[in-house]
Amino acid sequence: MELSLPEDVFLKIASHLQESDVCALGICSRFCRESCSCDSLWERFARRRWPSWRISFRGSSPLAGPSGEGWRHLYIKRHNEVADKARSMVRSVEESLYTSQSVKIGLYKKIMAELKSLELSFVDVKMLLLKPKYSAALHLVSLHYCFTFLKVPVEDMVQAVVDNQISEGQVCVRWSTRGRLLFGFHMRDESHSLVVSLHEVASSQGHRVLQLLTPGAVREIVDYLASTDCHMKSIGQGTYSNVYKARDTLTGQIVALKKVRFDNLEPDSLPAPISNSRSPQVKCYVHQLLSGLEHCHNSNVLHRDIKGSNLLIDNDGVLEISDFELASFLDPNNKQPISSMVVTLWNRPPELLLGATDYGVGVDLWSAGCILAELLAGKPIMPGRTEKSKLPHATIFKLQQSYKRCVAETFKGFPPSSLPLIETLLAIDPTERLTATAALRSEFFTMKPYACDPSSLPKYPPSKEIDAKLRDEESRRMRATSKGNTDVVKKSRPRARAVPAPEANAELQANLDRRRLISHANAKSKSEKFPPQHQDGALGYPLGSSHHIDPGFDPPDVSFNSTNLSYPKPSIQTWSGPLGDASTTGTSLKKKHLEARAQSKSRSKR
Amino acid sequence: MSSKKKVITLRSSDGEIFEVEEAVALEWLTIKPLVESGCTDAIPLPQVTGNILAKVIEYCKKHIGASESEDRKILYELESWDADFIKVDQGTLFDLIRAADYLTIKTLFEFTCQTVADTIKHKTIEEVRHIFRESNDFTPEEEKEIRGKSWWLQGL
Repeated sequence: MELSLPEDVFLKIASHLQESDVCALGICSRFCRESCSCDSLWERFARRRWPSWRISFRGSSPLAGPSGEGWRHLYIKRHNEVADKARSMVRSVEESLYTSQSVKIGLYKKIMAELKSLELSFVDVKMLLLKPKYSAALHLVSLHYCFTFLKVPVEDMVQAVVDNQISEGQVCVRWSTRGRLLFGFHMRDESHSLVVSLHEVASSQGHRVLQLLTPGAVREIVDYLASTDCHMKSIGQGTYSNVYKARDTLTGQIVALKKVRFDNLEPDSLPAPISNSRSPQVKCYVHQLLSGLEHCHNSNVLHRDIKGSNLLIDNDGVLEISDFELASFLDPNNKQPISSMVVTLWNRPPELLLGATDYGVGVDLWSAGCILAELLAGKPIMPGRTEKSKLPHATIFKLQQSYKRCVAETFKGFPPSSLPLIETLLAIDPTERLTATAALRSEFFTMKPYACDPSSLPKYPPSKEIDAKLRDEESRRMRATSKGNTDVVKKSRPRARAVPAPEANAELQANLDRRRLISHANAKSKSEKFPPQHQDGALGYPLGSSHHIDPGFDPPDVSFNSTNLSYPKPSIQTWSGPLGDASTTGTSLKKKHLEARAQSKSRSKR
Repeated sequence: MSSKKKVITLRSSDGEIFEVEEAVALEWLTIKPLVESGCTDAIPLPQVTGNILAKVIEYCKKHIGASESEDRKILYELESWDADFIKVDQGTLFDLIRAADYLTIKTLFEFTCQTVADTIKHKTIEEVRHIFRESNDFTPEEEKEIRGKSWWLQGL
């Protein structure tokens, strides 16, 4: 069957396409590239995009262009000029949104005026400004411009909003009416706000919001972000997570939404090391952490993922335990086996590393112990990338012939009062870890210096990451060559964060896989449970040099088969599968293609 | 109004014989002169196979007269009929384009080209290559260079 098309048909199809798609088409093959640089095609695009563009041509042949460079060249030149100006507008809006979370009416008017003076066409606006990654406030001003100055019909407007996938974006417009004089009394200024979706704005030319904006009663426009992925704005980036500003669709409240990033093998540690002299601060945090755990455990809830990045500390020094994704109920009467593949690896207690399915509050206490030691040491105490590499670390605490428990020596720089608590929390036997309540009674908290008051804790400046991120994004955008290289996080619902992204951290992915499979567990060799990408010895940080531990060393007396746990072998998933290679399927067709072209050229047409 | 509509006979590349009303055949600009000259023999169409010709005739019969209708309901029905009509595999779609091009049937040609353009929209280069059955005949260096030059639209 003949599949390739003659060039004139190919051009006809190309003329129906958007410019970006034509560019993609031009990369396909030599034939496509040649066809896609056709001058008449770009003339059509230029006229379509800038209907009012007047070019004075030398001579009578417009095809040669003003200096013989052709339409494509002209098109690119003009596009780049327009895109540069659009970028600066985008930047000013985004900056305003970052600094004051809103666009003030002054800026709004300025952008309107700028759009007008640049004479941006409707296609320019669609291509450069109505992108999902930009804020809804920018979209609003763009729509407003199109209605007011370009007189774009409503149907085209709605189509543009739908095509660009921004129809669910929402903006909140706030304005105030001057208080009136009523019976001699000056009434208070009244403030109002109105939330509209971009689809509503686009589908009504005389929308109330646009009417409001025209006389300028409006004070500011706030991006009112819907909970759909493309409208979430990243407001900060954590070690493993992005924090997004989003709107709770039920309450209408603006909330911070954390989405975990798994593609990163950086240490999962608390951000800043806290020096020993700041032990009141450590006590304050750990006390709050243990109090939180006490509450959870008293309510029969196991958190099962206590780690630095799940502890949120606000500006008043109040620590909150977040992310109960892996949490489970602890029912003492109903002993169901539960997954051992919980808790971030570095804070995973030895019984879980050995695969226990019957465990309790001890797992959270071990993690809390890790946090405490990490806070005091300023770095994670037991980093390891795979379960196996962790075991030698864990066994340093084990009272065995070859491994002496050496907490005191390892952490000799720590305040002495902290050592008994660390000993208890990091006890090999889970029962020895006691409870959160017992830990709170430890001398670590009862001895001087006491835990400081949360409000006296240092305030951490709002993340400067944003600026760095903006810069990075800008440079990435400049470098971007591929269409697929998009940084918009695609997730359908906030809840979806529990499912790791395809490039997920292998460790966590494997855990989740196994967690799903665990109920069908059958006995299999434990030594097979690691996917091949888990190579031992790939460590984040070595422990202190005075107590050097070889992570690759597998202690002969630690048996992997000693516990009652069994796993199915996890299915190994290849996430980064190569795209189908078109060249292997297309070689024979190419030949036909060339024949067809020869045929089409020879045939008498019309 | 003639009592008996004139019928034109067509022969596909694989020898199938089709009969269409003159009004339909007059929309096909390639054979229009032949029809107008009062040709009564079967007109050979050596570039169109029988099954494709059947589809083309089906489309033109449906569209004759209906496309110019002002009735919204008829236009709406025609649109959904078109949508069903074009639900064909890639090979048939391309055959239809070639047939429409060869026979110079403007409406069908526009419609099929638009359909292909719609399928290419927002596709990756690899997917587009697959659709057009184009094999990548660039050297890796060339492709890298071309990709680099195309950033001005791609990266936006």
